[in-house]
Order: sequence, then structure tokens, then C-alpha cells
Amino acid sequence: MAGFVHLTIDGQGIEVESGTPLIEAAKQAGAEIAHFCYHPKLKPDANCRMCLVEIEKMPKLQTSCSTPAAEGMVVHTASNRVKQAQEGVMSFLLGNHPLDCPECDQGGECQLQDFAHQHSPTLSPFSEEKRVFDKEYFGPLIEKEMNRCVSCLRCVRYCDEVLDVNALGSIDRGTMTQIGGFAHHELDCEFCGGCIQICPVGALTSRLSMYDYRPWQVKKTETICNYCGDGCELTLESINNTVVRTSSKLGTGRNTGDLCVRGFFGYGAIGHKDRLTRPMIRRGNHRLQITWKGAVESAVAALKKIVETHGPGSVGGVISAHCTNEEIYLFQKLLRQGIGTPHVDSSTRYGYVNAITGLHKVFGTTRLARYEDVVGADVLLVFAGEMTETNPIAALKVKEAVRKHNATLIAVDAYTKQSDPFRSHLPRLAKYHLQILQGAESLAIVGLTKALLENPVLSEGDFSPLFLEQVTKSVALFSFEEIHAATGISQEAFSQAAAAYAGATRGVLIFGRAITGSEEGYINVVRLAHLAILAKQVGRPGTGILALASENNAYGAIAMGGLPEYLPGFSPANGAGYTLPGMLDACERGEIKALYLVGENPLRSLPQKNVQAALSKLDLLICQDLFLSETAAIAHVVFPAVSFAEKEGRFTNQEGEVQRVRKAVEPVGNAKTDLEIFSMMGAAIASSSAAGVPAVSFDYANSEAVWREIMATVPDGFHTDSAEAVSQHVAVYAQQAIELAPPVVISKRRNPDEFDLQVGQALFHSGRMSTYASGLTTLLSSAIVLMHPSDSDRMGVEEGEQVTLRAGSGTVCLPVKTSLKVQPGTLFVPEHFSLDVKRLLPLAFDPTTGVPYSTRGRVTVSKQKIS
Amino acid sequence: MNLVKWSKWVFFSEIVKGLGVTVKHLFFAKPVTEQYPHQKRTLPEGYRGVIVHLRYDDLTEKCVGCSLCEAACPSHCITVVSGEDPHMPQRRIAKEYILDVTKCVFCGFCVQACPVDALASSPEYEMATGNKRSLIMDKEAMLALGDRYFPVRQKRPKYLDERLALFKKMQRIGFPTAKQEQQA
Repeated sequence: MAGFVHLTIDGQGIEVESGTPLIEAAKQAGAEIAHFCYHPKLKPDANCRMCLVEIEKMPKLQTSCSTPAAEGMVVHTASNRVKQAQEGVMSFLLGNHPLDCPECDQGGECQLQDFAHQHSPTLSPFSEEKRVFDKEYFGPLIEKEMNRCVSCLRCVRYCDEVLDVNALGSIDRGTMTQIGGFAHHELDCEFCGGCIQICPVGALTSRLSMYDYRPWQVKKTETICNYCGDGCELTLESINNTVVRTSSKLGTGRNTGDLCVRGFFGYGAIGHKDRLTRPMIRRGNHRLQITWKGAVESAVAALKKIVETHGPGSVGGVISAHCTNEEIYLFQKLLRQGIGTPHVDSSTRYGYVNAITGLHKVFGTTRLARYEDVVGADVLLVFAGEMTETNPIAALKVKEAVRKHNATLIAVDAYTKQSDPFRSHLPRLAKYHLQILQGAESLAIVGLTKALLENPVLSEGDFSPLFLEQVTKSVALFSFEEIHAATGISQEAFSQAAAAYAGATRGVLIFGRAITGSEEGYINVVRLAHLAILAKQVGRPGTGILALASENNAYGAIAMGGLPEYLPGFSPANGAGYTLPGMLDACERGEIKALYLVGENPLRSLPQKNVQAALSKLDLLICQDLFLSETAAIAHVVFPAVSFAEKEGRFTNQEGEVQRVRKAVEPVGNAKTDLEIFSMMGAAIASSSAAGVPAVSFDYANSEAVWREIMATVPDGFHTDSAEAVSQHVAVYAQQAIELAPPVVISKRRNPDEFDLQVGQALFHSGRMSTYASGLTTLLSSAIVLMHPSDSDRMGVEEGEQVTLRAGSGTVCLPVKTSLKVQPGTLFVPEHFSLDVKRLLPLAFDPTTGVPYSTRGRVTVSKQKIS
Repeated sequence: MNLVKWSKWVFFSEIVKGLGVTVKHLFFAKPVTEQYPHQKRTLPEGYRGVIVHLRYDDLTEKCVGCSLCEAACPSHCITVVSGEDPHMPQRRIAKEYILDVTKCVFCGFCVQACPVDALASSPEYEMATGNKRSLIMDKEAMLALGDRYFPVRQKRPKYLDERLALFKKMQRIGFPTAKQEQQA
């Protein structure tokens, strides 16, 4: 596409792509040009005037960040004229910069410090007093020290160009220019920490790690974040086994150096004081701390007794998808081979399993789109309006595609197009926003498919007649009028969106928990797969489907055989293992006598089912967790496990990218990694197994040894994900009979007090673990209910006032927060705090995958009466 | 010649000569031995003894906890744990400052590295002890030594006064942080 140009920089000939800014060309030629306002992620602004270079045949010095390299240029970066100009700029900057480097958290990694050493004159020409700003309170997480600011506006531009949040702006004029929220108010934004990372000086620093470190003291460990499926590379910086700060190096990892609030401020959970440090066993009503040897022995003795009396099928195990691939592999090996039970499941059962099994059935793989495809796409069809909250970094890729590369965004979700101030929101960026009623996703997909099939130009293609006939039949049940009534979207809107998606050169389909974690999840994934096939947006380079995961190793948990359907490497398991809800039912029936839960807390995640009764019937409940969760509190044996920062291994993110996790700090107290615990358990079981039973080895030196075994065990490595293989699989699939249940139509709300309630993930939290991080609880510390201002006005409820949500006999009181993004008539409650709100919602199970759906329901809302 | 040599040999002249020196020192020369615990030498200017912490004239400590001394120390005997002053928000101090005198080589690099002149080499050299642990000094011990040897204190600079006023104002307003929650 782009040609190459030849130019000379400091006497050295160099060839660069045309359009490269001179500052980058000089870097390639080995000359670093001092700069402040330039940043590779941002458009050039050329406001700091530091990167001036001399170009022959140009009368004036040019800013190298905004001058593209051109053929035959002769550039001098260190001539006397350049040096003089840079010294001038530097003396202006230093003229106002306070000499508080010893106190400044940026000291040691400060660009101004570094460049001042190279470029500043020894003496300042100024005798005037330095400017002094009044100190302002800027919020609990970000510290603003405007005296240090060099007004490069990188933070303002990052907040706008990359994050699309616009929380920062420059206020006042001239030498008193400062950065801040408009009208000097306290910062209320997404708190991604990007401004802190991008600030070249110490004007914006982290309040959470303020004064705790000096950059040269920290031990940096590059690892993978565990707060969502995006798989961001994170640098944990620790001093004396305490994580003091996190950062991400520019351009590294799948996130290319960007982080979200959970990655940047969520490290407080790692060394939290409530962490479990010793194994415990229950004796009567007491929990006793015990040695590892004693705990493992008592657990194995009890397990063995149960296996002997009731058979191996009376043991079940559930592992969290926050564990590493090696641990999940070893866990299923322990249960399947060590004990001999088929009942293995993981927390992907809460939704992500729908995406994997559905896509696997149609395409034979789930690695269909990568972030590069998202960024490079020209049309994006996104069924995840909450993506900026659940998967902020994947959402950054969508924003990049839309804002930098002018991609067309089609957003289908139950949110309004408006966003709250200083929050990014995908529907706002959408060209076509199909604002559906809550719970109408399946009909919206049917509508899109129907519109696609009726468009004669777009639907033509060499599809197998059987496939076309079956899909046509499946969407023919509803007319567009009926779909309009149920979803709120007209035929015209469907046709436009379908035409845009099918007409794309590189179309990418993204869906999240709105599809996978809600009613008809599995069928909707298959419907979406059909839609992508019909639109011919899969199986070609640049196109594909990306399923968003809420857990960091959701993909890996399934690939490692952490569920009853698959053995490691997606080979189908024979024998009927129970899924997580099935296991709890079996516990209640008395079929399963022992349950091994690793990082799982069914008492919290499945509150409607009679989990308490099921678990209390068990003869043995082993819990392995970081904190004493509700389930661990009633367990017979509790093993203290370690967080992601204390172990080695690999996570697989939602794209299917396997990434290394490295140990940053030593485990707290006597806690052990899950890998060590499984090895100990396995060895104890193998040594106590009866003669004649072939013993399985659980002797591993480290996670690397387990990984080697995985690689050797998995048949033919992992499934191939080449475009040809996908097309071949689709061709085979198209010849089969497809059975799809018709979509369910959600009944209309009857009276204005009725609201559609959605329980889901908030931006500032992820699961339960993040509620232990003080940086995140400062932003959101308890459950709230989001309500559209029109509803709160109608009900006469003010922000912060308590309302009662009622469904059936259950009631929950929550404070109201108004939000423009939720639709009128719907409510949103974050799932991380309140267990009670989930009890209001109905519980349904997916007929195919058994996924429990309990995030949506209908409640009546009344104002709290003050008596 | 031989006779002279012979007579010296006979009359032990070498011994007499040697004893002469002894007698001279015994009865006539001033003693060179110092009665150390009772008598002390005056130390030369710039003598580098134990490192101490200094205060400003209003008795506030000078140290800002920047850890530059720790970075400069060739024998790694300084440990600085910096943090926010609990009594004054936004002010950086050394929460802990530990000097391991047993490791210290008294090079004085830390004194040179200190950007606020909070450290000084004291003339203290009497650190012999039966308990080695007492040689690991904390900030309080170093400040006490500093008070003993450096009674003349520097005036607090004006720029610090300005910032102090700001700190006090901020303290009144209150600056809630996530960190206070973490420490609570």
C-alpha cells in the first residue's frame, strides 16, 4: 500500500515507509529526538516544540513529530541550530518546573528529567518567580500536581482519541494553562490510569501508590491480568513481596500498553489482609488450622472412603476459569484419572461455554477473530452494548476501528445511544444502533437474518440448499411486524444493518454476555454463526467472530477439558459427566457425596437454587480459595490458594492466545499454588490407591513440566484455525440437519411500575475478587441500581434515594443512581455485592448446555416509605 | 679499629645506647599514649563518623524520603520506606529509615546525594557494643544523634513554608483517598 522513501538523517541514509513521522524515522536511524507531546498512540500535536530538527532546504526548523518523512530529505537532529532551539524550549519548560524531583513519584522515570540532562543549559535566563497553582482535590485515585505540568496535553488527547471519554480538558490560558475536569470539579471518569501512564512528568500520578516506591526500587514482572478475558499484559511492580503499582509497557501484549481501571487500580486484592494463609479443616462447628500434610491426608482419606463405598462417580469437581491452563489440566486429570469420575466442570458454565460449544459445532474452532481483525475491520456488528464495561480493552479496539479507521459500527443492545458523562459507550459511536428491548436479542438476530435472506443481492452465494432452506424456515416463523413489536426495531433498520454487515469487506461480529449469559444463549450463538455465514463474514482473512469472555482463562478452561463435554484439546468426552447445576442436583439426590470446588462459590453464584441444602448433604466438601467465601465457610477442608500474581503458568484469552503468567511475589503465609495442591492431592491418592489400579503420576517439577505433558497429550496440538479449515467445516456443517427451537417472545411490561432488571458486570469490578481491592471499592463499594432519569423523575426518586425492588415475595432495597445509558423501563444492578438481588430473578437452564440463566427478570419498583 | 669494636662488644655499648633511649622516654619525654576513655582527641574537620539525620530550626525533620541515599550507598546499608506523612497529607516522608552501621563504610556518599541536606556525617565513632543489633539504627536514633552533634539548625526555606500552608489548608479540607482505606 504505502511506498518507501529514502532520506538522510545525521548523515545516515535510511529507508522508511512513506508517512512515517521524522521522529520515528530518526529513532530507526538511532537518533533519539527529545519530545514531550509526541506519543505513538496519538495524533501529532506539535505543541511542545521540543522535537525541532533542521531539514535542508527548509528555512525554519521543523517539528519532527508532525513532519512526515519525504523522499530525499536531509535531516540534522543535532546541529548547533537545533541544539540552541532545544535549549531555549527546555529553559522555558524548566523556568516553571518546580525542583521537587526528590518528592515526585515520576522522579527516575521522568522524560523531563532525562531530556533536561541532555538538552538544558546550565543556567536559567529567568529570574522571575515560578508559577504556583492552588492545590486541588482531584479524586481518590489520581493525583494532580499542576506545578509540574509541561502542558503537552498528552493526557487530554489520550482521553479523547484512545479512550473516547473526554474527562480531561485544558483550562485557563497561557502560562497558567492547566489540565482538569471542566469547571475544576473532581474527576469522575473511567479511571483507566492512561493519563498517569502517558504523562511525561509527574503532573498526574497514582494516588493509590503515592510515595510508596521509587522507580528503580521496584521489581517488574510481566504477567497477564486476571480480571477479564481480554488477556492484557500487565507489569506488576513489587517491593519486598508487596505489589506497589501496576503498569503496562507501551506496545506490549494484546493490549499494546493500554489498561483499564481494574488492571491499573485493582492490585489491592493480591496482598489483602483477609487472604487465607493456612489449610483448615472443620471439626463440628469449628474450623481448625492445620498443616498441609494433615489437611491433604484427611481430605484424601475421606475421598478414598467415599470412593470405596459409593464408587468414583460420587465425586464431583468444579474449577474456576481464573486458574491457569496447567492447573485446570491437572485438576481434570486428578478427577478423571486419579479418582475416575467424569463429573468435572468449570465456571465457564455460567455462559462462555455457550459460545465455545456453539461456535465449535458450526466452525470447528472458536479462534475466528483476533484484535487485529477488529481494528482492521470496516464493519463491526456488536451484540455487546456493555462491552466498554465488561471488556474495556477489547472495546478500545472497537473504538480504534471506529475512530481511527472509520469503521461502521452496528450495535445491537438494550442500551440507549446516550452515555453518562465521562464514560465511553459503544452505541454512541454506532452508525446503526438497533436499540432493542431487553431480552429480545434472539428476535433481533432472527430479524437481521430475515433481512439478509430477503435481500437478493446479499444472500446469493454458494450455500448448500439444505442449509439455506433450514435457516429460511427457522426465521419464517415471525413476520417483521411481529419482530418489530417484540424488539422495537423496524424492518427498514434491520435491512440497513444487514446490508451494511453483509456488504463489508472485512466484517467482524462480536458478542458478549448479553448473548452467552442470557436466555437462549446456545441457540443465539448458533443463530449468530448462521448470520455470519450468510453474510459471508467468516472464513476469510480479516473477518470473523469474537466471543467476549468475562473470565481470564475461560477459553483455556474449556480447551484444557475443564468441563464434562470435552477432554483436553476439545476431543469429545465419552460418558455422561454432570454439569455444575447437574452436580448440585446430584448432591441433593445424594448421588454425589464429595465435591471439590476450586475458586468456585456456588452459594453466591447460584443463589436461587437450594444450594445450601445440596451442599449440606455432602460427606466431603473441599474448597480451595483465596478468601473465606460463603461456600468455603461451610467446607470440610479448606485449602488456601494463591492469586495470579503468585504463580507461574499460562492463561488463554478470549481470542485463543496463550500467554505466560509469571510470579511477581511470594505466596502469602502458607498458601500454595493450585498446581502444588493438585500434585499433593494426586500423589496422596496415587499412593493410597489399591493394588491393581494403575497409578497416575502427579510428580511435576513446575508448571512447565505440566505444559509439556499437555502438549504431548492433546491430539494433533490444538485445532487448526486456518480460513480453509473453517470453510471446510462450515461446508460439512451445512449438509447436516439443524434443529433450532423458535425464539421466545418476551411479554410486554404491563404497568409503569414494572421494570426489566438486568444484573451484570460493572466497569469497576470483576467477580468477587475485585471487591477486595481498595482502589476499586473507592469507586464502587456497594450495590446500586441504575435507572434512567426519566423513570426516576416519574417516580419522584432522587439520586441516592432507596427504592424497593419486588419480585414475587422477595424484596431488595437499593440506592438509585441515574444513568442515561439504561433504557427507560429497565434497571441495571452490578452483580458484585448483593446476593439478594439475584434471588429476585427467575432461574432457567439452557436445554443444550445447561447454563444457568439468572441475570434478567422483571421487578416492580416502589419508593421507600419513610415511616 | 678492632680495639674499638672489641671494647664496644665487651662493654655492651649497644645495650647502653638502647637503654639510654628507654631512660630518656621514661623520665624526660612527654607521654604519647592518650588516656582514651578519659581523654579524647580533637577530630579533624570533615571527619566522617556515623551518619545522622538533621532537623530544621522548627524541629521538623528535613528528610523527604526520596531514597537517593539508598541508591547512592555502595554497601547497601540504608533502607528507606517512603510514604505519606500521616499528619500532613501530600507530604512525602521516610516512614522508616534504617541505617545498618555494621555495614556502613562511612564513605559519605549518602550525605552528598541528599537533595535536602538532611543527612550529615557526625563525629560519632564510639559505636562499639556487645549487642550488634543496637548498631542497626532507625530514624529516631539518627535524629537524636543529629540533635546531639548539630545543634545549629538550618532555617526552613521559604518555598517549604508556602507548601506547608497549602498542606495545612488541604488538611482542613480533607483529602479522602483509596489509600487511607487500604491502610485502615
